[in-house]
Parts: sequence; structure tokens; C-alpha cells
Amino acid sequence: MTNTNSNINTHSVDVKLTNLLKVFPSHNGGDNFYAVDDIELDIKAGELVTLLGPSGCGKTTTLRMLAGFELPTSGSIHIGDENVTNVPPNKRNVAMVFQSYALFPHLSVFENIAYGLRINKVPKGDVIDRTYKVISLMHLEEFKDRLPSQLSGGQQQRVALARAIVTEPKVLLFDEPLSNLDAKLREYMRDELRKIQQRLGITSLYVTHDQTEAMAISDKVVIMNHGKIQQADSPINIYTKPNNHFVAGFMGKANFLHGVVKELKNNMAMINIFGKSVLIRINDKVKLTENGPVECVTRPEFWEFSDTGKFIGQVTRTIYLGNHVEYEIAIGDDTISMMDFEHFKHGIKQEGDQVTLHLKEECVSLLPTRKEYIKEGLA
Amino acid sequence: MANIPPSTNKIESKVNGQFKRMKMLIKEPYLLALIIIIFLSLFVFSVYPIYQVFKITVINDEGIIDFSLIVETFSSSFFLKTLWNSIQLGIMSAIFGTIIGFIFAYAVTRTEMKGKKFFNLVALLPIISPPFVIALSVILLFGRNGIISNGLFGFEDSNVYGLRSLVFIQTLGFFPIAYLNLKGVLEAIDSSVEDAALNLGASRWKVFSTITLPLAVPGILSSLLLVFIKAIEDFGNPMVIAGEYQTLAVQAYLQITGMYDLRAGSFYAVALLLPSLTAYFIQKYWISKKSYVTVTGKPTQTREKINEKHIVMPLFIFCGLITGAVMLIYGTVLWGAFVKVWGVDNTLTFDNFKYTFTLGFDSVKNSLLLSALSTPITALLGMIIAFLIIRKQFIGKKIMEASSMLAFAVPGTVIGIGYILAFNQKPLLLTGTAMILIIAFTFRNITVGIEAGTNSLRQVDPSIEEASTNLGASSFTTFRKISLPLMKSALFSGLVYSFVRSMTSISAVIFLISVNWNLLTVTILSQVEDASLGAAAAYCIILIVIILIVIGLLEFFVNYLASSKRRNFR
Ligand SMILES: Nc1ncnc2c1ncn2[C@@H]1O[C@H](COP(=O)(O)OP(=O)(O)O)[C@@H](O)[C@H]1O
Ligand SMILES: [Mg+2]
Repeated sequence: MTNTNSNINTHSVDVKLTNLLKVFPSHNGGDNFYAVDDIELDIKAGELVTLLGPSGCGKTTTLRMLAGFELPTSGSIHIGDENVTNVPPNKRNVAMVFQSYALFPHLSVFENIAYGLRINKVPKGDVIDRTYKVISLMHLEEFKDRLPSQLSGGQQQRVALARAIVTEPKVLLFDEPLSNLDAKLREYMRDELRKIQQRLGITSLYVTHDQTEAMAISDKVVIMNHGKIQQADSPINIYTKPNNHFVAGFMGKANFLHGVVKELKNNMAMINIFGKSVLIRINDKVKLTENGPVECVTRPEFWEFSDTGKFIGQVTRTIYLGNHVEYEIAIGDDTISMMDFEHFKHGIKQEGDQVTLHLKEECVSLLPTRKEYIKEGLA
Repeated sequence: MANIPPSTNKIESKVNGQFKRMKMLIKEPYLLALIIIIFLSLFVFSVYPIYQVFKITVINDEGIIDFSLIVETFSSSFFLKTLWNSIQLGIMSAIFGTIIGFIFAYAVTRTEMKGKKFFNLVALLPIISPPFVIALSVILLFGRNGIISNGLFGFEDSNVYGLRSLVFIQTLGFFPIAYLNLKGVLEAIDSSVEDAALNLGASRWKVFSTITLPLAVPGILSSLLLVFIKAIEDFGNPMVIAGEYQTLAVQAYLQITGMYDLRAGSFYAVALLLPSLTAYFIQKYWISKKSYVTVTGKPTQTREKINEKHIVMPLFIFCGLITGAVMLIYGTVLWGAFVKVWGVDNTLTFDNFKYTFTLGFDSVKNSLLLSALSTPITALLGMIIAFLIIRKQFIGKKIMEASSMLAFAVPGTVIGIGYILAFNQKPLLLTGTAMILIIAFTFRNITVGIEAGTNSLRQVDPSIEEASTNLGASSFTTFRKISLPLMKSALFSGLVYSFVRSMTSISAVIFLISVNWNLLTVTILSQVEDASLGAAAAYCIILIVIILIVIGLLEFFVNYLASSKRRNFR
């Protein structure tokens, strides 16, 4: 990126969703559908927050309520100090980048980008200046006279972003903006997008179902399931300190192991897994009782081959993936999945091989038992 | 958990939803006002006149509801004969028209037949000309002085009047409707389905009889109904050529203009309305639901066309014969326009045109002026209603949709009678004015614009409009700057259709014309009745030429508009 963007002015504001609820009435007399179920969310000024979750969990609906295309059944939305819950969508000054880009097919790239300025009665001269500024920021100079149909997917994506930021919106909304691009381009655009968002400091809400994307660009990741927020946290905490089974399972691969608490000492717990004792840091969200059950999350990379390891298992499956090897290993009655990034050192184990494994105990996190979080309505 | 207990919020959220939508509408007062205005005008100009026609048939002179009049009329043998005549005519024309239309459509969409473009073009002629041109031509060819009946075979007094001629004329005049409908259906059948059958070893005939034909059945049924409706509500052809063979539309007219009996006319109109309205709604809601054709928006792969001689040749001959007949019909009218006295003195002359220009050019001007005034209103209103129906949420949307269709689905005769009944006194004293004609044109044709508009809007991703709203545009601005330009081709066909339909319509307007505001189609009809066939032919030619010129201009204009918007601002 060059630094031609010197004066695209933005005034960062924070966004607050309070008790937001969206119920779609059923058409056939069955139960109503809670697409978004009582969401609380604060987005700090200038932050990029990602809504992440499986398809149908209510991400788009949340975003569209913020844009004003859906009216909340109850709850409120504040942008800065203003309560915008009932403000019509064309008066909100939040700009959205659509999944399908939604470029105006009959207008040139230039006119697409200038559209928002013209609509808002910006003086002619300013329209041209500001449009050109964004065109050069997005490297679209050579395409400015083309129609959207004459652009590649990546170029269309840039036009969509340019069109959104040219009006200097208070908030930027993205609905899976990269899902129509191929893998390489997606990564590139993802980084570009984050750079521009940070440079302009626009408060942003970003929807995706791709966990890598969410990890890569977010200040805060919000994991959703069935219309409810499961966890809202920094990417690191989401991965290493998942709140519950769903979050742990949704972010990357996880081996869920059932253990029994042997001893509680200070902030550590001695836990029996596969008949071996391991020492794990206690997490204050989880209530433990001595001799009670506990669920432990061990990621595949928490395991390593080591002759001094406590655990003995048998390889049941080997998948060679170039930079690492994935194994499924039977320990006792359970099967875990592990990754070995040092296969050049250890060699590639074959199915049926006996192996000794070490668990990096300091990485393991504990989850409330299923009963507990069903009781709290987090499932 | 949610802060509303689940048991109560079912109804609450539904009511709430409606209520909130209304609240959003109130935030756009212009939109709300527009919706109300559209409702009012649809009610006044579509629903109310039709209601009047019904009312007069059941309310006697003392103003009391009285069904005895209906029973009396409907059981008279003359009435029953007329009703049966119309239905018989409708059924025969529908069957022949649909068969020809299907063969045409199959040949054009499935084979490598030569001259497809030409056949296609000629098939469109009957659509853009007033239907009774064919009746006129048949008289010129087969009438008392007909060049075939008299000139070729020397029959002294051949009788062209009656059912057989009428079926011939209506088949030729309305098969293009079936053709266009079926062409769309056949094109939309996924070619891979037929390829799959071929690939599994089916012969061409097997593919046709087991795949293509069954898949086209809904289209065939809807074509039958469309042609049936057209045929029974047709007024011009039966008026000219039916002779003793009475039909409902003609009887309705004769009762009113000949006997000054509005109620008797209304009886015939209602009798006409019931079968045609039934057929229309069966076509619209039942058959179109049965359709196997799904619009995916994806371009289907180009189809391997049939090239075998033994299939293509018979089709070519058939299409050639039909096309030849259509050309003979129109050629005859063209010739007739330049001949001194048809069948008697065949010298070529401009006298007929001179006559139309000096004596009777007013009706040409009127038709042109009133059609030109109503066309943009119709097309724009059609696009607006299409936009509201597809993209906006408001109470009574279904009612708006249905009532906008009413004046189109109802036979012109009914609308014509309804308008005289509804608008002959203050505060809506419109009879005898140009206004009533413009309004009749507009509300009779608006459905065409709405259908074209809704079809094209369905193909536009709604998020394109949301993007515009999101950038700060109101509903109006979004409609004007985004939706309307994207409906360009729909707008064009809306404009063309409503212009052509206005210029060529006769069944409704014949009740509404006045001394000051006579129309071209009515003039032609009276020339035919006066046996001034040369002048009638000249008027027909003028009418067709005007229509062709205007279509050309419209196409240029719409393209120009669209491309000038696209030009960049630097
Ligand atoms: N207008 C609607 N009417 C009924 N249900 C809807 C409507 N819009 C969305 N939904 C439902 O709400 C749920 C959440 O949808 P959405 O927010 O689009 O999910 P996603 O997280 O995949 O973006 C889905 O199950 C969807 O079917
Ligand atoms: Mg979504």
C-alpha cells in the first residue's frame, strides 16, 4: 500500500448491542425461530470484531440488524451515543460490504464508488476528489471506467470495499466478504482489508465461518451457536481458554478427554487421565470437586512423541500432509488425534506401531462438564 | 434466555412485526402515500367498474336485488345459443392455435431448420396488428368480390361469414400467442435432460414423446387457455365476419349501441367474463405452479439441434405454409390499400390514402396521441407496482397484486361497459372525454408492465438495492437510480406492449369513444361495415406502419437512456 490516503477522515465510535433478540415467526404454526437470542456485545472504537460460527447460527441476522435491514424483535443498538434501533437503514451511516459484493451492474467502477457521495449530496468537486482518493488507495485506477462485469472477483471485492469506505462511515460491516475468492487471493485480501481497517480506524463487525480468517484479522472473536454468544474474547483466549465444549470443538481440532480430579492445590489440579496423573492449571470458570469428573481439552499439537512420555498408545491411522503428519492413536479405549511437525526427526510411524507420548500439561484447558453448561443454557 | 416468555411471544412477535413494518413505512411518508394512491386508483378504475357491471345485472329498476332477470335471460334459448357459440369458437381456436404454435415453437427451438428468423418475425405480425386485419383480408380474398373466390374460381356469391372463417381467422391471429408462450417453455427445459434420454438410447421420437412433450404439458395447457380467452373475448373479427353466428362480445355491444339496453349488454358481458376469468386464473395460479421449468438464472448450455432431414423437412414445409398464409393475409391488405375498387377496378392508386389523410385523419391522430400519453404512465406505473410487490412489505400486498391484474384478465367488453356505468355522473363524469380512454388504456395494460417488471426484478440480487440503501439512498432514489435502470428491458417491453395494445384495442374503447374522440380501430371497423374496404385497408397499413416506427423509436430511446447514464463523470 502506498500512503495516499492522507486525509480520509474517520471518527471512530463504539457500538453496543444490548439484549438483542430476533424472532422469526413460524409460517406453519410451529415454534417461533430464535435466529438471534439475547445478544450482548460491545465493540470498542476502532476495533475489528468477528462473528464466527456455523452456518445458520444468526451471524448475518445480527449484522443486518446493525445495518437496519432487519428490525430487532427486542433489545437496542447504540452507535456512539446514538440509539439507532429504529433508525431507517439509509440514515445510519454504517457501510456494508456484501457477500455477493452487490455492485451496481449498470454503473462504472467510478460511479459505483461515487454513488454514496452523490446520494448524500456531497458537492461535485469533493465527490471527484474523494472518489479518486479511494480509487488510488485501493489500486483501482486502471479499472475505473469498467463495468463490474468486466472485473475479476478480487477487483470486484476491492470496488465493494472502496464503495463502503468512501462515505467515511461510522461502522463497517462485512458479511463473509471473502467467501467468493479462491484460497490464495482470500489470504491476500484478508490482510489488505485488515490493514485498511486499521489505518482508517473504522469500528468494524466482520462475519465469517472461517476460523483462520477470524483469528488472523480480529481484535476480538465472538463465537456464536444457535443464536447465542458462546464466547467473546481475544483470538488467543478463544483458542487456549475455550469457555465450553462448543467453542473448543469449533476452533481447530480438539481431543476431549474425561478425567477425574484427584487433588486440588492452590490453582492447580491433579487430574487422572488414562490412569496417569497430570497437573493442570485451574480455570476459574470451572467448579471442581475432589474425585469429581472433568472434561479436558487437548489439542493435537499438545501431544508429542517422547521416549520419556507417560502415555503408551498404538497408531491406528497415518495421514502424511507434507509439513506435518497427522496420526490417530488409540490410548486405552479412547482415540486421540495428534500432529507431528518433526517427522523428519521421528520418522513416519506406521499403522499398528506402538508409541510413547508426552502431553504438554501446561497447555491443557478444563471445561465445565456438559451437565453444568446445559444448566447455564450455553449449549 | 430471551426476555419474552416463549409461550406468549408467538402472536406478539407476528403482530409486532407487522406493526414495526408499518412504523418503518411511516418513516417514508412518500412511499406510504404512493401505496395509498395506487390502491385508490386500482380500486376506482379496476374493481369498481367491474362491480358496476355485476350490480346492474342483479338490481332491477326499483333498486332492489332481483335475480329473476338473470334467470330469465340466462334461460332464453337465444342467449344459450350465443354462449355456446362463443365457447365452441374458443375451444376450436384454442386447439388449432396451440397445435400450430407448438409445432412452430418446436421447430424453432429444437431443429436446425432454415429460415427460423424469418418465420419468427412473420409470426409476430398478428401480435402487433389489430386482430380484425385478418378478417378484413379474408373478405378481400374470399368475399363476394374476393380475388380467390370470385377472381380465381368465379363464385358469384360466396359466403365467407360464419363459424368456419372465424375459426380460421382466430387460429391465424392468435397462434403467435401460443407460439411465444411455448417457445419460452421449450427453451427453458434443461437440455441435459433430453441429452440424457438420447444418451440412454432413446430415439428422437422417443425423446420427444417421453421427455419433451410431457415436460411441455403445463405450457401447452396454459397456451390453450390463453388462446381460448383471446378467442372468446375477441370483438373485432366476429363483428366483421361472424354473420349469423352470434357471439357474446358482439351481442353485448349490439344490445348497448343498437338497443340502448345497458342491462342486457351487461348480461352478455358477465356471461363472457365468467369463463374467461376462470380460465385466466387457472392459467395464472394453477398451471404455472405445475410448471416443471425452474428459472435458475444460469445460462443453460447450448443445445445440440436436430438436423435429420426427415424431421426438419416436414416441419419446414408446415411452418412455410403457415407463414405463407400470414403473408398472404397481410399482403392482401397492403394490395387492397392501393387498389381503386377491390375486385372490380384493380388499377393501382393512392386514392385510398388520400381519402384517409383528407377526410379521416383525426382518428389516427387521436389514437396516436392517447396511446402515446398512456404508454409511459402505464409502463412506469407497472415498474413501480412491480417494485412494491417484490421488494416492499406492506399490508394488502396480495390485494394490490390481484386488483392490478383484474382489468387485464377481464374481457375488454366488460371494462368498456363498466366504465360507462361507473363514470357517467359526477364526481367522476368522464364519459366522452379523452381522459376515460387514457385511463382505460392504462389500467387494461398495466399488468403487462408489472409482469415484465417482476420477472426482471426477481433476477436482480436484492442486496444490490440494499447496498444503495446502506449508502444512504431513500427507497425512491434507489428505485430511480438502481432498480429502474436494471429493469431496462422490462421497461422496454412494457412500453412496446402497452403502446401496441392501446393502438390496436377495440373491445373496450368502442364503448368509450365519442364524437370528439374517435379512435383509429373504430374507424377501420366502420369502414369495413360500410364496405369501404380500400379505405379500411389503407387505415390498417397506416396503423401497422405507425406501430413499427414507434417500436423502433422506443428501442432507440431506451438504449440511449441507459447508455447515457453509464457514461462516466470526469
Ligand atoms: N427472513 C427470515 N425468515 C425466517 N427465518 C430466517 C429469516 N432470515 C434468516 N432466518 C433463519 O435464521 C437463521 C440464522 O440465519 P443467518 O443469520 O443468515 O445465519 P448465518 O449465521 O449463516 O449468517 C437461519 O436458520 C435462517 O434460516
Ligand atoms: Mg450468513
